[in-house]
Amino acid sequence: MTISLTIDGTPIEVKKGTTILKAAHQLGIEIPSLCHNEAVEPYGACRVCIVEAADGKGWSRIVTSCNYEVFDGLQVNTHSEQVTDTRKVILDLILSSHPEAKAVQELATRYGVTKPSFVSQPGDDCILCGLCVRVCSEVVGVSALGFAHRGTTRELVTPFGEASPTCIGCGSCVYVCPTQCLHITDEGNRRILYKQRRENVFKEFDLLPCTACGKPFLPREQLAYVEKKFDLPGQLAQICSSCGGRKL
Amino acid sequence: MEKIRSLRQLEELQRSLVSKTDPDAPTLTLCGGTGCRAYGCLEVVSAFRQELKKHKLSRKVAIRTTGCHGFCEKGPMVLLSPQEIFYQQVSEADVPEIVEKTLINGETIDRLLYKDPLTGQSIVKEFDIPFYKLQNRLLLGTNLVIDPTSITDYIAQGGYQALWKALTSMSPEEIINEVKRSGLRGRGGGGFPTGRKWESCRKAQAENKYIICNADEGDPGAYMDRSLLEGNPHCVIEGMVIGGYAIGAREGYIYVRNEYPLAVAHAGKALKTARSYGFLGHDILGTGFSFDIKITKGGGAFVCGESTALMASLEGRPGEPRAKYIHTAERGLFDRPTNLNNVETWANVPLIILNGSSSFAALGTDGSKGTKIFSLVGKINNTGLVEVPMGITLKEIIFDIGGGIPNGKRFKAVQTGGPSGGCIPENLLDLRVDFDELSKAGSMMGSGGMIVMDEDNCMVDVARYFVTFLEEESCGKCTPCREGLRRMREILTRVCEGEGTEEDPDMLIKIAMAMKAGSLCDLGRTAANPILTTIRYFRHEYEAHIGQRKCPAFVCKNLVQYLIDPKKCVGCQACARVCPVPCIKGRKKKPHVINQARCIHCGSCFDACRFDAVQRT
Repeated sequence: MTISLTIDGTPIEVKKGTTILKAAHQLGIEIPSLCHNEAVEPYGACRVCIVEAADGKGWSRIVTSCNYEVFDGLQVNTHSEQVTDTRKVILDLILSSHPEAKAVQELATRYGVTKPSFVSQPGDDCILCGLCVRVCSEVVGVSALGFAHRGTTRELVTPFGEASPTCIGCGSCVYVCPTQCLHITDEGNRRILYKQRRENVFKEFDLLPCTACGKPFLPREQLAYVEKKFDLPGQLAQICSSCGGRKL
Repeated sequence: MEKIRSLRQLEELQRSLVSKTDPDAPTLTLCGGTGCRAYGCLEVVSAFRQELKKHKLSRKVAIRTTGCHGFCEKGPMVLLSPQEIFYQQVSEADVPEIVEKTLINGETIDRLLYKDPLTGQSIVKEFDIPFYKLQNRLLLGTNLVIDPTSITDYIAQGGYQALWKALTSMSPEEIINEVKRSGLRGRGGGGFPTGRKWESCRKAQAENKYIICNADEGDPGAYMDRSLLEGNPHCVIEGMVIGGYAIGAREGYIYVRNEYPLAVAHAGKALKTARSYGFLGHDILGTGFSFDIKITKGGGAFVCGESTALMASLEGRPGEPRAKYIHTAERGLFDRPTNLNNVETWANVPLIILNGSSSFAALGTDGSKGTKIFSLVGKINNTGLVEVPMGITLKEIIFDIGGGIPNGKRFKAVQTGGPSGGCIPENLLDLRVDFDELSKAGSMMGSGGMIVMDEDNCMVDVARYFVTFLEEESCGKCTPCREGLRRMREILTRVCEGEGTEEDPDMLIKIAMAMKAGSLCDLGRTAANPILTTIRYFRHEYEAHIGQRKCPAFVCKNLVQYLIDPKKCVGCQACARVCPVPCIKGRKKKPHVINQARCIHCGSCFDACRFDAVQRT
């Protein structure tokens, strides 16, 4: 079933269940967002991707395009005055609390916010978008990360602030983090996953060596996870990507 | 207990219960609501038991402990029937006198009667007191005549006959149409038409559907739902079973906060007895319809009153809302169609079914029908719960029922709708209270909290208080709410401390508008209301704080200076004795002086001085 709508005046037909954000991308219209990634379910937390939705019959409201599903006759305005004004305030608020986060700085600058309105109590680069939390639970399936506390004290943590026994050191969280707040680094035969600063360690891993070149590369937990998930106990060749790539 | 399986059985039971109670038998009814319990009403109850025993009257005089009567200002309360004498603020020490003089000798004790503050006259009967007389207590009225732990009390009042009528003579569609015709709108805050909500849940296709009763009332100063669930749990249960039948659900939940232990206990007991009578559980009233209800206790997060956060919490996940672009009527609890209503909404359902939608719709305004319970608190003479028809004016509620402002002070504002409601000023007191009128004034009905403020309240400080509350209660998931509240609290604190700038009110409006448009759930969207309304109606107070560094209500400590007028000071030393710093010096019978550098602006000296010598500017 297809749905007809217009985005910024341009008509488009998309499949039922498509979100405004996806439909806009099909048209090449860019809507900024900080907490969205195709790999995980929409979350609607950063509120940067807001647009104005109207039905042409008098109803209209501001919605988040990442999780709003289109309907027939929908008219989307991605940059009405209210959308732009609201987005600017939201970006200003994020920048005020995370002034060092590059992705935030860039986006805010595009909307004319070059300097945060508030300077007290700046936080680290974690904007609490929840992408790491969601990818860890929805994609990897181990839920090693979560949020603690609520409101302004909300914080990205491992359960009880301890090294999570389920974390396999895959680095998916680092990969999706929009502000590069999470880091993974290999030091000798150790892999360290940390947030923002080197001393803020989430977990350390022992690395198993590549059977071809001898270089440590694979966290023991990751091997065990893959063996269990695909039911291949003891059958996996422990070959690093550079050696494996060469052979193939 | 044999389960009830026919109307004849139910009516016979009701008849026998009514015939067993002699209307002329002496009965003592005591309010056992949470407010009166705090006053010590349970001690009064046991004092009565002992005293009656002493006079060998235990068998002759019945004692009934009920739920909240609503007149919390005057608790503990004792009603003597059949004489219809209402005693207020009764203590254990009054009990022997009441038994001896009133019960045995038939005399009225004037000291314990309510005195009309205007005329000074004693009022004997409860319903002659203006507080009660001007209300229309369709729901709360039952609280006065039933023991909430007794299902037979409820049945004697006609309880569960609406359920019988619904299950045996109405189709689910007919019930939904009846609720639609009644014009009932959700009492939890949103004001969404209940019948339409039920209809969309009825139409949703799924094997399992759920009914939820939202009893997670968390507004400061609000206790309407608490008092209903504590005082008349069966009417809520009856409403839920009817709702379950109408939408096609088999399971229901009462989500009640753990801080309401009496509500939890009474609802739990009511569920058990309702099951044993066949009003709940398998094959209800022999009609083949099965429906059961469980109680889930909430941990007390304000945000869990939001429907999707409540459902997340019920599922065992953190109480965080999600976008409601897909309605919970289609995908709610456990991704199944779910119909959530609040306590007061459910409590109205049996009345609508039994008496018909037209009797309900006869009350109220065009857009808001029936009655609404408000908790009237703050600077008000008659603190308590009031139930009034929609459309009554704020003035009538505050001045006629509420008895006005204590100590001759001047009314300043009333905040309706809980922490995210707006503050309505004096010139709008003629506003008719309904969903739409309150929204137009920038406030909202909310679940019915009403906080009255007088000239001693600083509106900037009030805004700061509510923003701080909401900041603590925000779940923190979405940016505008989490960061917006943090920054608004910072600005308001600054203004209250005398460090505000001229740009601050506009910055507050800017953030508030962004939160209103851009927040994920209604907590964030409505959190702007206290800011926007205080700036809209009391901008001069903001300007005084910022421009003149003055707090017109003398609340913001940094902006108040205390001085002693040497002409008026008699040197009694009362101020120096109470000064906690201490920073007041002076010889006996000579004018005293406050050391401004050390003064912490606590105002103790101002309160202590009996000669008006301590002045504040």
